[in-house]
Amino acid sequence: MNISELLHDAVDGIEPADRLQDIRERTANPQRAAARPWFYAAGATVLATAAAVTAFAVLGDDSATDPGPAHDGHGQETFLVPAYFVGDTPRGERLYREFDEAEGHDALDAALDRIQQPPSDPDYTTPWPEGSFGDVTVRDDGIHVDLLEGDLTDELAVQQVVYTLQGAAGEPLPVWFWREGQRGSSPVSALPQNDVLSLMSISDPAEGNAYEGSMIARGRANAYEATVVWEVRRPDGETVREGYTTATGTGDKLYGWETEVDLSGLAPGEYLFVAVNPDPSGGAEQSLLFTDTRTITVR
Amino acid sequence: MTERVVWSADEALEQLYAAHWRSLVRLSVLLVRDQGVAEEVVQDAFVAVHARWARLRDPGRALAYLRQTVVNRSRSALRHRAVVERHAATLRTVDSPDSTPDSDRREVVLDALRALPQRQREVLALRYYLDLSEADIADALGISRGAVKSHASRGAAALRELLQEDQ
Repeated sequence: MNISELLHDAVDGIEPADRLQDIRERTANPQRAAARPWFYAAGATVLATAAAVTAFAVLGDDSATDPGPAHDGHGQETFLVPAYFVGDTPRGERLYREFDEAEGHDALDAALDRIQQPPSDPDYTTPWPEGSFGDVTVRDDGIHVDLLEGDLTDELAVQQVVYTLQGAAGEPLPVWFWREGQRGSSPVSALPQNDVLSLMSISDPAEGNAYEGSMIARGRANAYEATVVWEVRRPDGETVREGYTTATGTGDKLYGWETEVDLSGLAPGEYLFVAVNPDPSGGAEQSLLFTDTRTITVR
Repeated sequence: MTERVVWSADEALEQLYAAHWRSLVRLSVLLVRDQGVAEEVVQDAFVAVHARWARLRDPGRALAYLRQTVVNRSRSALRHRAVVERHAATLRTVDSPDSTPDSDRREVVLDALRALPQRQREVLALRYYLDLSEADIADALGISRGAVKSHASRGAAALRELLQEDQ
């Protein structure tokens, strides 16, 4: 047999289970589509071997003093990390920020892992598939990250990594990309917010959050006259609540905004929270509205 | 003139699933060996392609993205699994179901694939199982066409050698 025949022979008898329903449920519910950091460890084979390891540890006489076998999750903790994702704006694709829980050895590791998974908000995407990056460490001269797959030709994708890691580090450290043991010739810094970020980005609510009575909405925007307009819409598009709030500044970068949204009297169900602002440089021009949305549930 | 059909993300998902679910799971089995893990890997790839549909829009590009995601996630799955397997290796008992000459041959081929360097395994699977062109393989793996050529020839030679040893 030639190689083609050998490979076909090896797997053509395999009839995978039908998972379309599982996939549909996950795509219909972005919460479930989001990060599943333990999914690989949850494979049937792995569970069986992990169970075997546990059974062995229990059988051992000195299981009380034995720390037990190290496992894949060793040193993993859960962090709430800022994660930037790519989404559409009137000025082309830009970065939006989510806050998500992710697992890692530290906040940078968790944040880097998070952007290699699908975003919680289905309006965004990530250009970095799982396995794109290896280790990330902070040293005196900045953040060092190991690029395993892909390249650095997409500037927005590179900025996504820089913004995410700087956010996780809590300071604007330069980012060095390594490839196969070779460090890039110079570090990458963050480009100005007005050039790469969506000028409207919702921090709260997170996609899919549920509320009763009222909710606090927060975000960052660079808005004309610092004015952020928001709406709550029913699935049929009808606006059921609206209002506006003022960001703490405008012009050179994004500034924070916060408002309380009264949800009392709304029928339980799914709604869309929309925050909108006109580009400050474009005046009140309608064609340059920056928008971010979150699906919420009212109980 | 052909009419241009625009699919929603849900429609695209169903079409892609119907056409490619089985072959992508089988591709992943060639890479990770374990069918359960392969199904998880490919399921996640379908969820990812659905989320990305607004940017892909085109079934051909979506399929290319699916393939790439399956290969990348298969690689990650192997990395994650390697740690657990190292700890379990001493505990493993011989547990093979009744074997037949056919099932033996399949096992031997999958074992031999697992023994190859990762890149060679990936290139062989894409080339000889999915019948992809060198350009498409280069695209899926993010490597040059020259690298595809050399991984393919070295991989094919190594696979033949491994399979001969077993005879």
